[in-house]
Amino acid sequence: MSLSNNVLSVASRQYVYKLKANTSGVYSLIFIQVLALLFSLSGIQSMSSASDTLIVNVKYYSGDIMIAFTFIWIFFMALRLTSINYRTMDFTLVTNRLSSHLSNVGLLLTAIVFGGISSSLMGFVLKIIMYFAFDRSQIGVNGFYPVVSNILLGIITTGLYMTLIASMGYLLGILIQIHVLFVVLYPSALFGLARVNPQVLKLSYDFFASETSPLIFAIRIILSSLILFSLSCLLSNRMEVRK
Amino acid sequence: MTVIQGENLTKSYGKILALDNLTFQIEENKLTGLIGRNGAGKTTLLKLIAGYLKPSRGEINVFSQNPFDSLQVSANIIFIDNQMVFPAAFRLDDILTEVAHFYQNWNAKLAHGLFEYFSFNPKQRHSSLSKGNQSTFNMIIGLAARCPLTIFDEPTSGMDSAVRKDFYRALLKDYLEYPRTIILSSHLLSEVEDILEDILLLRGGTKCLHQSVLELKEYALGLKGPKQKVLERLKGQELLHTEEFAQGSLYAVIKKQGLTSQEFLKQADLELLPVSLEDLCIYLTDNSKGGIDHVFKQ
Repeated sequence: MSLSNNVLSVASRQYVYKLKANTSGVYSLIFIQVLALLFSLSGIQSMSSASDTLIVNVKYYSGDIMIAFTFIWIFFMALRLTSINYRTMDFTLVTNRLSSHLSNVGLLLTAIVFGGISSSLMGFVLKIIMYFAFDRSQIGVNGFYPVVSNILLGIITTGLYMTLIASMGYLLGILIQIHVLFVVLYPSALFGLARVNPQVLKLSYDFFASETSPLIFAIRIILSSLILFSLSCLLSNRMEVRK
Repeated sequence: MTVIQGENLTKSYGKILALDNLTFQIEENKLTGLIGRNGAGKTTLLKLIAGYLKPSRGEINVFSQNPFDSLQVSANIIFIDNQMVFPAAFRLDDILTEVAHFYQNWNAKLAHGLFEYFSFNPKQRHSSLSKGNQSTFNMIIGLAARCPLTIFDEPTSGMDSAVRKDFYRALLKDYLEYPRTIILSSHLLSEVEDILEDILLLRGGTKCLHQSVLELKEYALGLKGPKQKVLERLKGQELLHTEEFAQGSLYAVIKKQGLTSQEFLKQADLELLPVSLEDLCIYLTDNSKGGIDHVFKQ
């Protein structure tokens, strides 16, 4: 009987294994962000007003689409990790349910670091393109030139949101494993909740999005993600594999 | 030491009963064959042992603990079947390198030796291998992992007969060099009976018998001769199997139970035939007496 088999050591071995197996995830990230960059080039909002003598045309450009696409990317990454194929991959080798989840979370956190940094930096690619594509005098200077602390804050915030989204995707994946009907139930429960009690959704939005203190915001997101991930673990604890 | 112990093990899928009150135990460092018809519950039993499934009732213990969700058991088991999945990004040589980190007894020399012997292309992907080659590759992993409990579920499916023979030989050699508990489930008993020590025969989810191969070879006796004479001679014996031939001739198989062949040799027109293990297991697991012939008689 081998002795060196505590959960953490196995989970870290699984993490390395999965990291090597999922290097192609970087390509999908790059693809999605380049795609988002192309969408962003046309501007996300424009406004124009005209009088007899003057026509004003204002166009907003922003990296929001890139962030949004990265959110979608991490959601599907999390969803994919719970698929039967990935589970069978785990249970082909040494694992238990906890170590499998831990290594998945590790992999997702790595993806979040990549996605958070790259999506925030993609905003600069957009700015650089703007800088050279337009007459400088046409650019609204406010907030155009980067400040290091803002970049860091942007990366961390994006990463935290991605963590929350990943934990939601992961939970959805586990629920789908329990019953396929959850594909429909999960979103309809959210929409239903919003219709029956619109306050709830607004409150939860405020809970995460309107917090001004970065520390409290971080704690809220981390705690919520932890709760969602633990729920996923609990729900899958009794599940049979490789049926 | 008992490695696996099953107590009234029952497993049902909805209304279908796959295993029914199975009680058995498997000792350490034995090469056991799990034999049974299609749907006898072989795979279900193996997956219960590996901790993939949960018993509906009863108890299973592997290395004295419940295998379900047990990391300790998982680390000491390797389960080889044709449903193993490896990451699509890995080439075959990557798989051999990466899998090695999970098993502390991993024998890289053996793995690479077998890998080259079966002339795999290291750059190929696991999913692009043919079915037989996948089985062969999985078998290499199963042998090289040298887990205290190694489970092969139909390991030879898709392999051609040359590879199957090589596999049995490799399995036996490695087992002798590094004894461990091995369970091998197979349809092809005639091929594996030479390497097995014990046989666990399942019928309809229950244990039919669990004996050593040597005992089983002495288990039954086949008798052929004119129908009347055979029946007369075997009166009072439990017939395991009867088969009628042309001209009123009958072939009957009975439990030996200490009978010696001398007792039958006095009657000149009775012919004594050995019963192969494979035939014996078919007779023992027959659902209805008379076999396939019975269908055509009606």
